[in-house]
Amino acid sequence: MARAPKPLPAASLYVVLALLDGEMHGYALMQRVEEQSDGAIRMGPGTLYGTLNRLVDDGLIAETTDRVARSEGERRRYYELTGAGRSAALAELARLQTLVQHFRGHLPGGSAA
Amino acid sequence: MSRDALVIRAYGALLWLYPRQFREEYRDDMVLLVRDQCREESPWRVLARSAVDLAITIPKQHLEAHMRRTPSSIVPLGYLALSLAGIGLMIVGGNAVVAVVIGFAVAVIAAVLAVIAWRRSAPASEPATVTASWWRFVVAGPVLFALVILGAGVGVNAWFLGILAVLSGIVSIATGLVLGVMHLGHRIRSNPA
Repeated sequence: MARAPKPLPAASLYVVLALLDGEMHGYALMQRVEEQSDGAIRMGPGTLYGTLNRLVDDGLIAETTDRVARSEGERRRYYELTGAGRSAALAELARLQTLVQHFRGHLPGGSAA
Repeated sequence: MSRDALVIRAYGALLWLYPRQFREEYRDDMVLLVRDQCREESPWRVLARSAVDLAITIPKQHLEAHMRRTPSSIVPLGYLALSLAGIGLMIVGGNAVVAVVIGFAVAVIAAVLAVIAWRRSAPASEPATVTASWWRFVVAGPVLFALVILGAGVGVNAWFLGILAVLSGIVSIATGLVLGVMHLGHRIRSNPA
């Protein structure tokens, strides 16, 4: 039986899931992750860019603009999912869905499978 | 100077604590992100939260940078020199059993470490395990013995080289056996079934 890929660490998981909605820059990603987790996960800049660095190295995300000048003279880097990143994000969603289905009976109002 | 500017400057200064490569890559983006945060909430709160983030991620980034470092060829050469020094101690020790035993132990351990360090400094594309060459060291021992016997047979009169070759052969066999045991352990761990 083929071994399932290792689950992504929590920070990487939230970042790839946020990027399913399209490309984003660092601050937008940070806000999106906070929103997705109902405020439970608030990434600091070091955590966010450490995670982005690792995901770029792993080929799951890519920079879409390389320090292009933007409004107010800012240079922002945007990130988007690569093909492998999208597959990883969808695989993570499927894994979480299976997990929830498995333990649905323990949820309030849920019935054991 | 406004509070925002002060906080951003303080944060920018703290970023010098990150490893150089990470800092050069992300410093501007991280400062920009803190500036964005300061626009929406109290800069002191942002700084306090960022300080916690720095305390967690700076050691982490240093560890990752250490793990990614390019291995140096100086390390295996150092171990090799130590191994040769061990063989030298065995020769100089003569009849002193303690010196020979210590020299032998140093030579074998340093040789094993030299092999491991040398394999680690090889390109990462090689999937072979570090200890896969154990048999070459085991074979090298008898080859050295055969060369000594052959040299003596044809009348080569270089006793010092002969002793050095015999001791190197013993060290090579012992190193090979140690690597072999490590290799077996690695295979058992890889295929527990």
